[in-house]
Amino acid sequence: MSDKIILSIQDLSIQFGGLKAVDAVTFDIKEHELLGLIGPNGAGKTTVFNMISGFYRADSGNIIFADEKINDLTAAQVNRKGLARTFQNIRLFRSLSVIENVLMALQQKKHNGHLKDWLHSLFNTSYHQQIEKDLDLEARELLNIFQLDKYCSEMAGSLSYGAQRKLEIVRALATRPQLLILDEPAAGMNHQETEDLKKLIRFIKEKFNLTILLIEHDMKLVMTICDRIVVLNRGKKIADGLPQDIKSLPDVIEAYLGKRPV
Amino acid sequence: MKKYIIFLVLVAGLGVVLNSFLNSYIQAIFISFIINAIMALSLNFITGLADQFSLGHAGLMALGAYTSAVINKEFLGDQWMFIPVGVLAGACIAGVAGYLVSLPSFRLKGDYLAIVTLGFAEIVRVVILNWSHVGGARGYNGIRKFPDFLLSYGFAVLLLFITFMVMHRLKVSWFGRNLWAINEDDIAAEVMGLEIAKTKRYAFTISSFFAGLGGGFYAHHLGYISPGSFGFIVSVQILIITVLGGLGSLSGSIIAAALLTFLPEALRSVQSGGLDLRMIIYPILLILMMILRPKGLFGRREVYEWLPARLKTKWGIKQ
Repeated sequence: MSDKIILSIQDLSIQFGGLKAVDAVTFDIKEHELLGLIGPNGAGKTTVFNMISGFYRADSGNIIFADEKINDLTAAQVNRKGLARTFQNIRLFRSLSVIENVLMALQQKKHNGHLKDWLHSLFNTSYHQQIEKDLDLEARELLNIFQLDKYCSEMAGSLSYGAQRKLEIVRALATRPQLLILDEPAAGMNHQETEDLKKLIRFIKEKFNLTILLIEHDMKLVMTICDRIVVLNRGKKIADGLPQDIKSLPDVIEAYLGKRPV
Repeated sequence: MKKYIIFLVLVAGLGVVLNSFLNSYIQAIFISFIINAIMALSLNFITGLADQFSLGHAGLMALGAYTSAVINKEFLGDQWMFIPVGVLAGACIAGVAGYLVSLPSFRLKGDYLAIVTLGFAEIVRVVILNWSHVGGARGYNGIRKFPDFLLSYGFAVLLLFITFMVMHRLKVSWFGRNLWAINEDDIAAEVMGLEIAKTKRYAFTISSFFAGLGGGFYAHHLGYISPGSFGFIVSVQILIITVLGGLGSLSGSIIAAALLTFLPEALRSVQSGGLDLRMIIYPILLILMMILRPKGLFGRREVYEWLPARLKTKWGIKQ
């Protein structure tokens, strides 16, 4: 882990009607860090995610990614800056095959929609065929790393739940991000699947030299794999520190378990 | 290469058969089938592949038809040789119009988009209706036709072939994958770094271009067009063909166009007494189709995907 800050959230706030969903939240992620963002239901975790990934516009505050302000970028532009995300409820292209899911993500950098691209694909030139072949190979390699290659031509929607989660992560990786944001990847997983996920997250972090921001409910998962944890409650940051320190903070215990009646 | 030669021989053979053994009524129906097929392909590209519901294709068709007719008569000396030029111009105008319509409207989705495109088609129709220079409500008369059925047939098949090839090549390439992705889940597609509004705009522009192409040829096929030829019901007919063939299946669109062009004509002869059976059989067939094959005849797949694997490899079709 270096000390270089890759993503910096500064005084971020957003309001929905009368509800201040996120209120002046500030935290940083260092390069190659695995940061967990936790908090009870409705704490504003996913809202923070959605602001980072370009779905919501923050009312105030800054989101700085790699020394660049990305507040006002669209989701597509944010992705092109090198920031990929997955979704809490899996959003695969369900009726496309597994490999097409990955190809779609891979091709965004190769085909930028210039006239040249159009003409090559219209006339099915050898250049076009070569690019398609390269993409196909790259996708298969990527799927191979995650033992998904045997499902290449299966429909993505027909995979098991765990495999769909995995494929969603692979698809996000196919956009070649620097920072990967995982939104509750363990939601709906059983114990064994969560164990596998834990290994998977560690593995991709090393293999792809990633920085990971993880939102999760599963405390055991968060406590064991995160380098650092930020706790939100009711839109405010209430703690920021190492997992073992966070565990014993009275504020955090209160947010999760409530106050002991006096 | 070999398959193209076989295709060419088949097309030429069919043309000769139609020309020498069948009457002009059947010939005309055949040409309308091709026009319907082009229109259905055009709609399929935007509604089937990208899942953007358009009800404005009759308007685009009208633009193509009127542009082509006017250009041929006013600027190109009313010569049949120049029909292709006019048709191409019509397609371009429709393409430009499609692009302009898409600028504001692809912020919308689903029903809202359908309403905007429907509104566009009505605007086009009403403008033509009140434009006396092109005949207004009386219609535009005496449009130059091809002098010979074989010429007309050859040009029609060429247009259909180009339309199909362009759409098919795009469907199986990167652009098609982007459209599928938008169709499946536009939010996920955007997160992959795809500019979805831009992609939809391109798709609609291409679709409009070919709608104009079909419309342009339509004008020179009938020799007479009026605002009434491009009403709301025409958009719906195109939609029915596309849905019957399968949203996303290009070959399905062509087959459905054949079915829905020939069938009503064939049923015309099944009249008994004062009862017009056509109006009973035709809707029943559509209802049956929706119950038995709710995704259309071929769903998303192309007809050739059902070929045995041996033939696929032989003809160089990607599995």
